[in-house]
Amino acid sequence: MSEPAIVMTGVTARRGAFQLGPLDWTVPRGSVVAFIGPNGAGKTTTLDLLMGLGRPDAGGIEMTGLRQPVDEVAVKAKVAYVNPDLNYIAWGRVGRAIDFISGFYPDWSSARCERLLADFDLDRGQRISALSFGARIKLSLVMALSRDAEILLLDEPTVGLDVTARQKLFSEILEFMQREGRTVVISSHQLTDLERLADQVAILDGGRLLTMGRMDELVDRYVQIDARLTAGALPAMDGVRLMARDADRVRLLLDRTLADEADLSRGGLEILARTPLTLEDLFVALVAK
Amino acid sequence: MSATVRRLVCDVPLRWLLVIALEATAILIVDVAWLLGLIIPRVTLGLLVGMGVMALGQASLKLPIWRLLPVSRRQIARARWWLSVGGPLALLVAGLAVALAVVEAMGWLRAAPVQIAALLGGECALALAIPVISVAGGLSVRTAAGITLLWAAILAALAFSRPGPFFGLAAGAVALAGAAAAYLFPRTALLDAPAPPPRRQAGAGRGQHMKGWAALLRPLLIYAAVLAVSSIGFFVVMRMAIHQISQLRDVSVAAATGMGMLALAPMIFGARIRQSARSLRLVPVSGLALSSILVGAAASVQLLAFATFCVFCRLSHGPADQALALLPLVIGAGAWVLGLTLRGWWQAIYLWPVFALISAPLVDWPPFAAVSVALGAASLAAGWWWTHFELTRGSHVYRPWPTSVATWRGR
Amino acid sequence: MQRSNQLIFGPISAAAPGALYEQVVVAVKREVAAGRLNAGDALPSLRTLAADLRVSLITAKRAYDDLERDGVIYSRQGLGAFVADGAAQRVRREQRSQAQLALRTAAHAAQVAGLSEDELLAMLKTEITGAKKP
Repeated sequence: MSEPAIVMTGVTARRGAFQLGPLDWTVPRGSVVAFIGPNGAGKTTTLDLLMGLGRPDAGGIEMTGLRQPVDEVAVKAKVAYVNPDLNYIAWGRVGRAIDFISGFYPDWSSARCERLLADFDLDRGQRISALSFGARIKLSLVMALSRDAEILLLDEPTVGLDVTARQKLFSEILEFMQREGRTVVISSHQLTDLERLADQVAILDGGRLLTMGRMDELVDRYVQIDARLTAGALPAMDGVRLMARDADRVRLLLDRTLADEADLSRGGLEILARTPLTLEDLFVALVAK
Repeated sequence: MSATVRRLVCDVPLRWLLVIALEATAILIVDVAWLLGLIIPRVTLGLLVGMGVMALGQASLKLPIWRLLPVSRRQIARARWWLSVGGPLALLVAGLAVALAVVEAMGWLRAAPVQIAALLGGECALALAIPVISVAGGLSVRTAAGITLLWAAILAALAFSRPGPFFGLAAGAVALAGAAAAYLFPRTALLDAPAPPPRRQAGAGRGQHMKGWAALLRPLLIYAAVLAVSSIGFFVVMRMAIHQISQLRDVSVAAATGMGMLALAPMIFGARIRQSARSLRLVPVSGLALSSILVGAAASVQLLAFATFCVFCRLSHGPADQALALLPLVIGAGAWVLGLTLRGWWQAIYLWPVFALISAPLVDWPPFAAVSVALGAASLAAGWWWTHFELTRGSHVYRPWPTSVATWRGR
Repeated sequence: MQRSNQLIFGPISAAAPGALYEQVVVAVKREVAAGRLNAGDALPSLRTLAADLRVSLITAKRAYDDLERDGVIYSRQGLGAFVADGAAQRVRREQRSQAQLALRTAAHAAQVAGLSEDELLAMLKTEITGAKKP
């Protein structure tokens, strides 16, 4: 099964004044995707559309080869969704909520569910209204991971989680990935964690995909150059973005696929230092206006 | 019912079985009393309307989770139908059958078959109006309730004479036809809609240019208007649907229904306050001032809604003076309700029938006005003290309100 | 001021090799050796540097302590830190001795690899030409 896990073609959606898309995105099977972007970029809207919560105005979505919204029930049987807004409070206690949800999935594993509850410090008898915010997210995660889903859509799963829980979550995700053909899409603001965990990255800004591809390629592609102007004016070059400037000192973001340091020297710049960027710094530089 | 729909519908916790039992009892009381020719306790009629609305309210809490399950939208709509239309309908029919059997066995049956059918029709119209519109139109409960009440008000303005059994029969037929339509052709627009963006907490958003208290209290004006219209509409719907009501004195009905709703008005206000209680306590305002302002705001809402209601009563030639005597009690009860809501006992909603039960028969008692003022003042003071206690020392104020939890995006 | 401190005393990055305070030390030595910071120039105060570079006070203090130990700067109580006299020569001398140390390592490595003197010199010439290109 080498078909991609997620295929979005020309997807557009309008939510009030916000316009999402057009998005063309293919997520290969068997990858952990870091889906990042500034607040209000449309990450949650995109994940909602993938899950079938709401319809796009135009374009097609395919999840593991099944088309949304035609096969939406089959898709929901294979895709798990986690979001901090999910609220199981109508079911009173943790045990009741789990019993209800588990009845809908024939591939539910009670053993795994019990182990996850213990790992995340949850108890079946706890009242959901008494759970802390992080505990509620942990409950949603337990629901999602106890199934045998093919795709996990995690929208801000680390909000409110303490460090121990976060580490447990990542080890659970990696264990999930051990099974064949599984895909995980994580949207989070904790870029330091995602950098270690993800092998694909997609950056969404203002409803458009800025960049997508392999994580290591992205991080290697950009380098930060500290330079001094010898010629007076900064030459305009493709693949060179000015990050900061003070008199004759500049800091540039160099896209190695479009330009290299030789071009910079020819343009009258004395290179003083080159620094690799963390995903966080790269993100800030790429989405800066 | 397919297995999936059954799994969605039969997911009922123990305490809701108690509520269903309460509703079944209420229906039995209404039917038996009516068949015996007795006066019906008006409070039970409110429960009829509340049945479907409560069921839909519970379902709407679960809806965001249902949308994630491998369940088709049609199945979700069917589940909503069974919870709010099918279930209550079965309860109504069963209740009437039992009541008929009991009364006939006693030999006290006094009503003609046509009138019995009209009773059933009226009950169906009351219980099913809002849920049918919500399921058939794919609308949220709030929208459906608003539409229903609006239409009821218009119809009342058109036909404000004593309705005969024809009205009950017609209303019932329409309700049942609507129920069938909702079952066969449910619109799932509600389920296609994207989740609405989260509302801000009390005071932010629209009141951007208002500083201080104005920003917090401005939405109260809208609540007051909604309450005024709702209490009028509720009275009108009840008056139309079960024609026996029109033979009772208007004031009792007006008192029990309209005033009862006004006594609950501070609950909505209190819910908002409760969500923002932490932020309010950070503001450099003393606890005394805070509780005085909140109780005063709640009382103002009630006064405003009451004034509208009075005007309506005057215009429809109903005597409003006796209802006026209830006002101090309502304001006092409102302060209590505020304290209750802050504590988180949303079961305060069950106070309403108690309040209506006690107050309605007493309205014509001569010293009632003086008693009302005394009791009202006492409960206002007690309610104020309780609100103050909850705001300054209560820990419940800092826990989220169960039906709308503060999330990371700031609901 | 904030911008220029970041540019002159930077770059500081978690992705770059070396601890954060070492990166600050390298940056200051670079500026001193290039002549952009002259003897007697005032360095920013510890708090200002920490705020501008977004590092902790401890990191800034450690960097300044290392620089003072290496004789690149000196600090006066209440006045701040200044570039020391002869700092440029000291830094350049340090850079020269680092180059010599690297060459010593290369010579040993060449001996271990069994390279002749001519081979070694040819390799060195290639590396020199290569280093000229950025």
